[in-house]
Amino acid sequence: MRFLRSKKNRAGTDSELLEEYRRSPDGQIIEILFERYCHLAFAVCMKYLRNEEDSKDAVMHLFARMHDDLVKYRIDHFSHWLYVITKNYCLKELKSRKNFSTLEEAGLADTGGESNDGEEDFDLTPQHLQQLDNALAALSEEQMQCVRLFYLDEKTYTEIADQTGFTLKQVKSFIQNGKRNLRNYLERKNGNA
Amino acid sequence: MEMPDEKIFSSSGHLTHEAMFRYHSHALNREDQYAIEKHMAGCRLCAEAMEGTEKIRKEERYTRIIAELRRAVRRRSRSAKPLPFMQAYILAGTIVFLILFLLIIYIVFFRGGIVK
Repeated sequence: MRFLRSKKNRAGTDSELLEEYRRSPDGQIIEILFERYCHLAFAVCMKYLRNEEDSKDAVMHLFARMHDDLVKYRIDHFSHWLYVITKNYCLKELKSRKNFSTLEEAGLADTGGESNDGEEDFDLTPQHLQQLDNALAALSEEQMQCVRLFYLDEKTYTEIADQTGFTLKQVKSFIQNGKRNLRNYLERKNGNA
Repeated sequence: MEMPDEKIFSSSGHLTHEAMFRYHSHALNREDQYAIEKHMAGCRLCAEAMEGTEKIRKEERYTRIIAELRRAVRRRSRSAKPLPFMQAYILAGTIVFLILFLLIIYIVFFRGGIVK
């Protein structure tokens, strides 16, 4: 009966596809989403599980639950939702295997293997930063330096590391933490407004 | 700043697997490298996927696995669940079959057969 299937709009955005799936669940839509994100989901599984076969199984498991989840839940940001369910699945797997060394490396041993990552993806634009002189001053010296170089001067991680003498890992961490602090500041500011 | 190479981002706006491997092998120009890092700073899916690809040594192997997964999903999604309109046909067919079956039973056992 494949000839009876309608051709889905492969160029549609994730939100359009999710909306269409909610109206009429069709495996073709899952296929399109899967094709877009499968390489990322698999790579995230590899980060945590460190094994190709386990990561393949994990991706297939996540795909299987998508049929129901996409109808059951209202998902606004597919990529962020996929990241959260992928990470949580991997952490549960590691916990069930009592693989504490991997959990420790992922910095999650203290949380009992549950991801405490409720944050949506957040992109800090230069416009944000220009309004945030006060907030930047509240960051640590290292965070402020890295955030400025990265977002305002548009330097790469390597260039920042060369210029500041920090390691690449430190640069990434200062940017990540600095960005989180700025985000919190923005949220507080907007919340109080 | 120049526009990043089209192959860096997929139609969904996230990193392609080619981009991730080129990033690891330092085979990108400065603009593309910054575009990737800027994207990763705002997208945890891509940032962690980038870390995951470090654990896969060869791009060819990764490409083969992804192709395998896509084929498996295509097969499953086409056999997993009948479409809603197919479910309706199956239900209607079952009802018609039951009605005909009961009609035949009625004719054979209560009316003494089809031909008198």
